[in-house]
Amino acid sequence: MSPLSRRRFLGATLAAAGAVAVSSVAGCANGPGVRPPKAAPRPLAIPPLAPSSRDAAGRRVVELVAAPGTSSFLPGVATPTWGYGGLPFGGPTVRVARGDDVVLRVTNRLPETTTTHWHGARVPARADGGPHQPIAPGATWEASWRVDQPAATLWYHPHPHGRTERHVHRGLFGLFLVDDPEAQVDLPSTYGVDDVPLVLTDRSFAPDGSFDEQHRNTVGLLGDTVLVNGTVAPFLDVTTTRVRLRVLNASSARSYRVACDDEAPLTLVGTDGGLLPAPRTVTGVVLTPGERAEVVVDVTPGRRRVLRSLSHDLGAVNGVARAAGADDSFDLLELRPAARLAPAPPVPARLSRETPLAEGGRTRRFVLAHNRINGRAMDMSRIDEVVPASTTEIWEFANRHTLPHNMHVHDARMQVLEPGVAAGDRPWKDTVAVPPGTTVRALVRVGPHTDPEVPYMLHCHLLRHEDDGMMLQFLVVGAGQRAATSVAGHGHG
Amino acid sequence: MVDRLAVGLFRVVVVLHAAMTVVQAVAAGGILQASAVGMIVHQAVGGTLLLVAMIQVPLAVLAWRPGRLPAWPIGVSAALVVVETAQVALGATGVLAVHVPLGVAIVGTAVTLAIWVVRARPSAVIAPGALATR
Repeated sequence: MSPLSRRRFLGATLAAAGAVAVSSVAGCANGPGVRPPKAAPRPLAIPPLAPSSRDAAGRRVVELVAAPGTSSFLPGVATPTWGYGGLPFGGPTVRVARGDDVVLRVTNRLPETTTTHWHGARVPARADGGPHQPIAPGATWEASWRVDQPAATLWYHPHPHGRTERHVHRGLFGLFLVDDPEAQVDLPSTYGVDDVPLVLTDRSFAPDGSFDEQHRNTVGLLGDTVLVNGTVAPFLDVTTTRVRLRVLNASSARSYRVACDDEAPLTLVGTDGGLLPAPRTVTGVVLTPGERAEVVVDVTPGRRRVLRSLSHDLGAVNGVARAAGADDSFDLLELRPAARLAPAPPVPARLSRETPLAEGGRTRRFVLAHNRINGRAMDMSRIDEVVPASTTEIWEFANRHTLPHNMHVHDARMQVLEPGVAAGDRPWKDTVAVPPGTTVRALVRVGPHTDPEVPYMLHCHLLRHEDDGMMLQFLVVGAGQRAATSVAGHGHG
Repeated sequence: MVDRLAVGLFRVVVVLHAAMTVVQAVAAGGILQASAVGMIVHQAVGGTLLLVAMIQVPLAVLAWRPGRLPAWPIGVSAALVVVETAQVALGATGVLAVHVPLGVAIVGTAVTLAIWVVRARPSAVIAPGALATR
């Protein structure tokens, strides 16, 4: 080979390698951004309350059926979806009171095995609805327990190992509200009128109208159209001077910063685990997938206001942040106050009287890297932690990865240790964001239900990461109980 | 004949190795944009790259004898194997503060070596008694 053609060969090889690499990588790199909807604004759909009955033993019984359906999000286009309770997408709002003995029966009419997890609920391990409580197609699963936790906005959704993103993305999720009759607080509480749920999901649509389930990046599956309670471009007619919004981030990967378009302040009154000790005035609330926030918005007669999601800082490198949707700003809901509004009482100065968790317990450390927790991938047969019931510990989540993660602990009440927030002011959480390169320390208390054999889960709630194996199993045991060394009924893996 | 074959094989592997390091760099940029493809490519090419670097060492020896190229590429190829082994471990454990600059050094070395090897001329064979004639 002559020197000149050798050089050309070298140059051509290196250039070709570079070009192929760049084009294949640049393809699905960034997030889709959010497109303003073309459809005219529609009234916000309000998920109906799930019907319940009393059985002979006085227990409150709720029946849910998970089934495929067809939804119409875009004009003239049908989208195949899954839903609970006869809804094609989403599910009815289950509402229970502290002290109720509840029985939840879920019937699976889907073509796949699913599960139903009560996210944020304090339940016996066998009722938790995680990967160890599968519901085969055609089968009915029953979970029963006595509700004993403060009033809160919880939710329910599938949790099958490796397929959670798929099931939740298709539409299987619903709200689960707990009321506490002994601790009533004077907040707006007429469901659907001045106490309104906002379930945020983002979806992209394929040309045939079905959900795009292909374009994932390493953060997860994001969409370019935001659905609020399944409605595109919704508006809400407001008839009172104050409205309470219970916001749930039911997206697989997108996080939101909920704020008003005119920078009016929001009053934060509740988080995942219930009401705050005292209301907090904020300009915006950041919610990563799985988190909830209850905010009260003041409105003036006749003056429209738009609730938006604004760009926010996830603590990640700009390329990752863009792919995670953190740079996107878009409308969520238009509030349309009537010309005359019924006066609402002011937000009370004192909301929750729950005793804050005490510091001083042992520390458990979880290192998050490469979609693994402490270097391990989820293993259905392995017990990773044994935690004593009703004891407060400090759990440290160290994110040593370039991707954002957010950690959800089943059966737990958590309070994040933050500088500048006094012990008596800490919000109640069950899902916490852990930005890249940071360590989040939280007081964690599990129990009081104990089970030496059946585990609960702790995992990243970016659903793609969870499905990839970013999940560990823990047992909650009582004094004198001997924890199992592995989960029965599962072979290796 | 054998000498030209040895040098030719060495050239091909060195250029292939350099091209793969360029692909690694591009894939790494993709990871920083949360590209799923970038992650898959970076992990797949990473392991294969180490194998190619290992094959490069005996070929560097053959390119020196009988190939008549200088000996220093043998040392550079061996060093690349050592450094790339460390690089795989650093990437797997997420020590990016070392993994990234080391990656830059590997790409620089590999591409420089490739440019050199394409232009290099094996030293001339001196026939016995040739010098005596002049």
